[in-house]
Order: sequence, then C-alpha cells, then structure tokens
Amino acid sequence: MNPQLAGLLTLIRRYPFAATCILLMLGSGGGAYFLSDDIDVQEAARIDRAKEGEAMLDLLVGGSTQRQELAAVHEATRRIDDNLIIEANLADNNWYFYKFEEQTKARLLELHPQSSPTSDGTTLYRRVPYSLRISGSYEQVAAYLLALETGPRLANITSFGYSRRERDSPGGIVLDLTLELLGKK
Amino acid sequence: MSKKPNATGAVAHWHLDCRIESELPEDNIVGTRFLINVLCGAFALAGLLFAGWLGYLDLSTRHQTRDWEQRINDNRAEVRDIQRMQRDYAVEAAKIDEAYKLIRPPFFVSGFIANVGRSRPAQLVIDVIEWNDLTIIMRGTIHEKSERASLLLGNYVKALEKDEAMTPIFRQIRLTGFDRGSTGDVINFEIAFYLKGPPKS
Repeated sequence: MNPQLAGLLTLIRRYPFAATCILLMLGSGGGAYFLSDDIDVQEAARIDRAKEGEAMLDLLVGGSTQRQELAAVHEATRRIDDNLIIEANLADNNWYFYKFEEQTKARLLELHPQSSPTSDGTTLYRRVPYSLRISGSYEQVAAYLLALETGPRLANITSFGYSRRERDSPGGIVLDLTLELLGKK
Repeated sequence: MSKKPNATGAVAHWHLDCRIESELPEDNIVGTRFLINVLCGAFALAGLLFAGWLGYLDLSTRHQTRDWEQRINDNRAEVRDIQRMQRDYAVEAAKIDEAYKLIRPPFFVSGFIANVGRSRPAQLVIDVIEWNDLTIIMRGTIHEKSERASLLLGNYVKALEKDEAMTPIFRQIRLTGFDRGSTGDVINFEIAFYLKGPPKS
C-alpha cells in the first residue's frame, strides 16, 4: 500500500470524528457551491415571475375601470356612428337644419350642400360641407348657432359672417355660415 | 505523564524506564485530539449551517416562483379578458380620435358671440363680425364723442383681453380701426381678434 495512503488511513483511524467532520465540511462546501449557483438562477426566474405577476395584479386592479371606460368609449362611438350623415341622403341632411329652424324660430334663408374634400386621409369618416344663411333676432340666431354646435351631429364651423340688417328687419341679424358635418365614408 | 528523564544523566534511577511514549495517553489538560475534534466539528457545523441556509434560500425562492406562477395561471383568463378589452378600447378610441381630428372646431362661435355681447358697453353697436382665416374682425359704431369713445373702446378691448373665455382662443385682441366719420358724434371702429394656432384647413 502507498505509504502516504497508509498514513492517511492511520490518521483517520486515530481521529475518526475529525475525519467525519472534514468529510462533512467538504460535502457542505460542494453543496454550497452548487446551491449558490442555483440560487442565482432561481432568483432571476423569481424576479421575472414577480414582475409578470405584479403587472398582472395591476392589470386586474384596473379591470373594473377598464370595463367602465370601454363602455363609455363604446357609447361615444355609438353616438358618433348613429349621427353620421350620408352625403347622398339630401332630404335627411336638410331636415337636420330645418329642424333647428323650427326649434329656434330663426329663418334659414339659404342652405347649400357643397362637395366633400377628397383628401381627408381617413378610412372611416368624411367631411360634408354646407353653407347656410340664417336670419332672425339676436336670440334666435344665437340659439340656432348653439343648436348647430352642440347638436347630435358633429359640426365644425369653418367661417362665419355676422351682420345687422336694420333695413330688412329692425334688430334683425343675418348670419352666414360655412360648416362641415361629419359623414360616413 | 511526565517526560522521560535522561537515563545517562547524573541522577540515579532505581529501575529501567520501559515506557513506549508514542502509545501513552496525553496528559495535557486540553488534549490535542480534543482540540482537533472541536475545530473540525466547529467548521463542519458552520459548513452544514451555511449549506443549509443556502438550501433554505433555494427552496424558498423556488417556492415563491411557483407561487407567482400559480397566481398567474389562476388569473390568466381574466387577464386575457382585460387585454381583449384594452384592444377594443384602442380601436374605439382611434375612431373617436379620427373623428375629432377631422371635425375639431378651433373654438365655439356661439360662445365667442355670447362673450363679445356680454362685455359690450351699452353705447357700442356691433354691425359686422367676420371670420377670415386666423383673424376675426368686428366692426361697429359708438355713439359718443371721440374722447369718450376712445376711452370706452380701449377699456372694452382690455376687458376682452382679460376675459378668461377669450385668452385660451386668441393670442391678441387689438383695436385696428377708429374713424370719426362725417358727423363726429358717431365713431366707426374695428377690433381684430387674432386666433392662436395654425390656419383652418
């Protein structure tokens, strides 16, 4: 037998407890080395999952708000879609302006649909322009204007001229407007 | 046991010393064997504790990871539902944005006319208001002497400039015309409202 090995065996026989302890130490060291590597891997995985989980929890917390916001936005788009005008449907489009004439008692003297601009750059909507002339008292004309601007159909006034017409009717006002209504493409 | 004395020394011995020293037990108070065992035991215990602690950390991390995975899996259906809602929301919001981009009014004309009328001095008569591109021109007359009229118009323009409803819309409001006309009692005036922002398309 190798004399060094024989000496080691003698030592082990002489110090069995110490030898066991040294063996345990070596085992623990090896284990600790592998565990520390594995801990790094597991910690990285845990951080990834925790991030994913926290994002999920945030999402879940905002879920009910999201539901309400989606309902509100659905309602808004429904209202827009329901009030889009169809350019070709002249009678219905004119009726919209005459309806306000009845409500506000202003006189709609002229109403002219104009051709839509071709380059809107959108796929859903088109602008349908109109020019109109309204007359009446200040209150009547102002009420007509307000009704147009806040009415169910989305309108954008692009120009206006507001003038007094004392010769035609004392206290009378004439309002020339050009506006665009939002229409279906 | 005491060390073996020098047998060839001067001191006489009464018998031969036949002890085999290497096989005799130690007679130290704290023996070498004990010290070695204690040291090795302490290091082994420390090593075991350290490895145990690392093992605990490893298991605990694995457990936390499994716990998160469990929670993620449990809520996966609801998350998918919310993500679908978000996609729907983006589509619907894009529709609203598109409509807004096309038809966004730079200001409310009815509100503008109401504001102009609200702060108008009683002597001031508005004849015409016209909107041309980035400027709104208001023309009218005022039935006052020139000095009084200029004071009234100056104050009116200042009041309009300070009006909270006007400041977000107009970058400047100026008196651009002041004409005494033929009689001198009626002053013709012109006020320009300069809109903020790019020209309307």
